[in-house]
Amino acid sequence: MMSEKHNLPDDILDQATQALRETPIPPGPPLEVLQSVLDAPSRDIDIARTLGLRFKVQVLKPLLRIAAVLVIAAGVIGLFSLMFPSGGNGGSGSAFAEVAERFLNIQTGTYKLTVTLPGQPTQTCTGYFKEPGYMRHEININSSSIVQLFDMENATMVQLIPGQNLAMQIELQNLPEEKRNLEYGNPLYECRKYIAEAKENPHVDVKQLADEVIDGRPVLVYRIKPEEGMYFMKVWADPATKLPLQIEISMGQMFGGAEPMEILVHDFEFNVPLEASLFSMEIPAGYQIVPLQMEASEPSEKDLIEALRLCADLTNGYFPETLDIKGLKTIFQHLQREKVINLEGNERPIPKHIQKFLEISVSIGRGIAFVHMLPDECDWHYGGKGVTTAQAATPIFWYRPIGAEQYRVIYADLEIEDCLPADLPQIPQEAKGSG
Amino acid sequence: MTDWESIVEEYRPLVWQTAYRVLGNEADAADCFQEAFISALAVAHREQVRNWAALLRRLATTRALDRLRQRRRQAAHFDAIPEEMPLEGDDPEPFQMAEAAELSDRLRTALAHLPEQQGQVFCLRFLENQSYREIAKQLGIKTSAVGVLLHRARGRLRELLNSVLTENEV
Repeated sequence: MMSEKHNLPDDILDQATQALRETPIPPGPPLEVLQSVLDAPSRDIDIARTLGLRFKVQVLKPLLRIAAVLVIAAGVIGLFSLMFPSGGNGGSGSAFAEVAERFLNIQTGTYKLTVTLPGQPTQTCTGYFKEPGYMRHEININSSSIVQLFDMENATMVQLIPGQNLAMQIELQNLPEEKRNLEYGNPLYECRKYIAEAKENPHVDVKQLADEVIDGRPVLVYRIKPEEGMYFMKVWADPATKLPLQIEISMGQMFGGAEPMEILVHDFEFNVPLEASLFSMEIPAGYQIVPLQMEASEPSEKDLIEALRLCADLTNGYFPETLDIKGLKTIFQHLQREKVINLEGNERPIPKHIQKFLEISVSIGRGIAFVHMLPDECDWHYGGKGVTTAQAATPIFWYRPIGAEQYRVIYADLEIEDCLPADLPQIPQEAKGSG
Repeated sequence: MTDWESIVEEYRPLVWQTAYRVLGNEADAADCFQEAFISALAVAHREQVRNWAALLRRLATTRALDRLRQRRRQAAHFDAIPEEMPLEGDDPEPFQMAEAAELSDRLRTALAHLPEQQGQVFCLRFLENQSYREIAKQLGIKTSAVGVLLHRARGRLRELLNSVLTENEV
C-alpha cells in the first residue's frame, strides 16, 4: 500500500518540494568533520583556510564585482573628462551589525560620489537611488552637465548631455539574470551588499577604528578589508542613528602605479521622498540619440584577447604599457593625436565619435576587468610594454586559471598555450602582476 | 562567547539536515556543515548572536545553494534536469521512493539556476518552514520583498521543472 507521505500533490513544483522536504537524511556529519568544527575556536581562521579555493573565491566575489562595477561607474566619469577637457588636457561588536542592517534597509537616498583617479582631476557627482535598482547620477565636468540614468530591471542605461541635446542610449546585452533588478552597475547597492557580507565572512576583516570627529561631532569608524585583494573600505557612521555618514573605497592596481583610485560616497540623506520623474528613462524631445549595445556578461579570457587585439590595432601594433585604466587613457590620447577620435576642442563632439569612443572603452574595459577580477591565486603577469604584434614568440600575459595546474600564456600574436609552472617565461622587469 | 561545544551539539542536527536536504550527498553536506559553523563563529566574534538557530539555518542554506551552483558550473557538460524515467516493478513503495528521489534531484538542479536571493528565500520558506517575517529579518529585506522573491522563484522553478534543458541552455 502506498504510504501517506508519498501522496504527492498535482503541481510538479509542489511534488518536487514535498519530495525534497522528505528526503531521508542519513546520520551525520562524519566524526572528523564534527571534531574539526568543535576545534574551530582554537584554530579558527586556519580551518576556514582549509576549506579550499572555491570558498575563497566565493568570499572574494562581491569584492571583485565591486571592482568591475566601479571600473564602469568611475571609469565612465573619469573617461568623460577626456571628452570634455579644459585647457587642452584630456570583529567590532554588534554596533557594526546595526550599521550594516540599517544601511541595508534604506529604500531611497541621495548622496555625493567623489572619484579620485590618479592623474585626473577629482570628479564629484550627485546621486539619487530608489529601490529596486533605479539610480541617477548628475555630473558636471568642465561646465558640461551629464545625467546618467540606470534602470537595471530593464537592463538599460541612458546618458544625457543637456548642453548638446545628446542622449546615449545604452542597452546591456547578456546581463546575467541574477544581476538584474538591483546589483549591476549600482555602486551603492554593491557597497551595501559588501557590508552585509562582511558581517559574516571569516575572510573579511572588519575592525572598529578610533572614533573620528566630523563636523564637530564624534563618529564611529570601521575598516573593512579582505584577506586578499587590493581594495578596502572605510565606513563612518553616526553613533546615534547608526546610519553611514560616508563610505570610502580605495582600490590599488586597477589604475597602475602607487596611487590608488578612491571613491568617496558622502553627504547621504536616507529615505527621502524622490519623484519618479527623476528616474525617467524617457529621452527629452529634440535630443539626438546615440545607441550603444554594451556587453554585460562576466568578462572572460576571450575579452582580454579582444582588448589586446583592439589596443594593438589602434596603436600601430603596440600593446598597452599597462593593463589598467592608465593604459586605456594612453590609448585614447594616441587616438586624439591621430584624430581617429576627435573629442577635443570647442566643437561639439560628433555622435559617431562618441559612439566609437564608448564601444572601444567597453571592449578594452572588459579585458581590463577580466584581469583585475582574477584572484591572487591566478598569479597574473603582464609584459606587453614596448612589444608589438610582430614579435610573435614574445609572451605578453600569463596567468593560472582557478584550480588549474598549468598557466595560460598569451603571446604577442595573441595565440595561447598552456604551460607548466617550470616552463614559464622569465618575468620581465616591467611585468606587472598580482603576485 | 557562548559555549561553542554546546552550540555545536544543539544545532548540529539542524545544520546537517538543512545541508543534506539541499545537497543530497554526504560529502558536500559535510563541507557545507563545516562552512556554516565556521561562518557562524566569525559572526559571533563580531557581534552577539541572539538566535543561533536562525543564523545557522540561513548560513547552511546559503552555503548549500552556493555548492549547488558550484556543482552546476563545474560539470564538464551541463547535466540537464533529468526527465522523468519510466520505472518498472510491482512494488509501489520502491517505485514511489524512486520517483520522489528523482523529483528531489530535479528540484536541486533547478535550484542551482535560481538567483542567489530567490534560492535562499525558497529554501527557507518551503524546506525550513520559516515565516515571511523570519526570512525578512534574516536576509535584511522587507517582508513584502520576500513575497515577491518567492513568487519569482516558484515561477522560475516551475518553468525549469517543466522543461527539459539541453547542454547549452541557461
